[in-house]
Amino acid sequence: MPTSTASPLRSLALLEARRYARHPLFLVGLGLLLLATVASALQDPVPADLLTQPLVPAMTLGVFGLVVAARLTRSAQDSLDTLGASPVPERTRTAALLLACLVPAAVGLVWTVFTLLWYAANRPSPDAWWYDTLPARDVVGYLLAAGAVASYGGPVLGVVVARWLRWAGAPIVAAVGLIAVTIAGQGIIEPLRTVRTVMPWTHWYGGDNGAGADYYYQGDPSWWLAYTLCLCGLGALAALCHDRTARTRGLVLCAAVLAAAAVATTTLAMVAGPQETRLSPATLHPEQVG
Amino acid sequence: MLRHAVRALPVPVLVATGPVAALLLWLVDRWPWAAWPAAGVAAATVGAAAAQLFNEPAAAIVDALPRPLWWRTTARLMPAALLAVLWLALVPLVDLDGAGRTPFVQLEGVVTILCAAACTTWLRRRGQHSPGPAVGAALLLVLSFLALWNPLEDVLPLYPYGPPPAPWRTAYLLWGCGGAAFAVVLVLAMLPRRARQVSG
Repeated sequence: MPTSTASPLRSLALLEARRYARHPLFLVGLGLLLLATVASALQDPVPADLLTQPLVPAMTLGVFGLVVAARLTRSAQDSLDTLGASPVPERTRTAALLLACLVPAAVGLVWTVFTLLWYAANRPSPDAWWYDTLPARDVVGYLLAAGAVASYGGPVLGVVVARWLRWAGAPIVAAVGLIAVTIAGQGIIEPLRTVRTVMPWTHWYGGDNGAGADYYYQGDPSWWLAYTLCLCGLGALAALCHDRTARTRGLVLCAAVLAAAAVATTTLAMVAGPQETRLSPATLHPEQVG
Repeated sequence: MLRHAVRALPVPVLVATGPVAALLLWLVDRWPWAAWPAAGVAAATVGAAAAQLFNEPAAAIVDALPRPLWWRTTARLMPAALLAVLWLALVPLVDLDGAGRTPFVQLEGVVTILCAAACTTWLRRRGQHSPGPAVGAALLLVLSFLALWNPLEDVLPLYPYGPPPAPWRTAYLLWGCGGAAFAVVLVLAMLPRRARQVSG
């Protein structure tokens, strides 16, 4: 009799990844991402607010992914509740789901690379906040964090919500709560602008000032990238820790190290880099200049 | 009918979404120009909550009882109407400061509730027991995305903002037509099924 040599984690991760890739909400999000990306890429002239573009994958892959991952987690758990037992421990099933969340993350990474390359060749006005006015490190760091990492962070949060909260409406409330908190934490509240780097998603581009110029907020996007990666790691550990048998000393130590790293990196994202909101030259939006 | 409507109320969903919708509207009130998309997200949240009203947790039992779908949907439309009235009453309290228009935000919410009612009732008619979470999630996510980033803004200006030349008339027309279409779908979904003729 042929036997499978693949580890349970690998088999389960592949199975969950296939389920993720076929989920209707993931496909709807993917369709919206493609539509928005093509529509932006075809715009002429190239939009000056390119730093707002990561909102598209963060929403279509990250927030949509929160609900998709929560649904997948709950549906598997509901089936197991009916069956009574599983030959695979919960921590392995959670790890498989966390690996399946790499599906949207991979799409988010492809989107980020495409955006960075496409708009390196098709640049906006030289006065816009992009490669010509910012260090390439900041542009790449911000797009990676707000695009690719957010595409993984949202689904990871979905797994955490589904593992810890049994209420069926929790993922939807978490999704809308995340959107609400992110709108508040995107820098529109001036006194909170400095500390906005504690948010899992935020802006550096602050919109136009109504007189032809664009804002660029303070802080260092590269350190914020490190912070968002720490948040993903903490989310994964929080999901794994739902299984009592997974709460080993090593895992707790790992969580403590990641939490300390998250505090350090978000603080650095606040205090490093320029410390004032900057304005582009006032010729960026000629229609606004009287 | 009233008793059915009260028993069908998903109190936890309403309790959870109320503060989030209020937070979103407060953001619009406080920073209308910067947080204008939050009005669209709030309307989508209300629609997602409305979708839960049309769930039938005990469908296997009630579908076999004499009360038809149209009766149960009519009963469930009462809390949905209450939700719409609450929305219509709350929105004028938000100071939009010219960024948006109060009747437009009110229309968004009502059409979203109608859309939720129509889609869930249609799916219930097709045999799904609890389509509320799926319809609610899809409605919330897609409309929130369009409120934040509409890739077809020039063709389908669903969430305009600011003074003219913002395409308010087109937006009103789009939402109005959408509302009318969803109302028709809702009525069609509620119509009693024709009994199948058994030949021979």
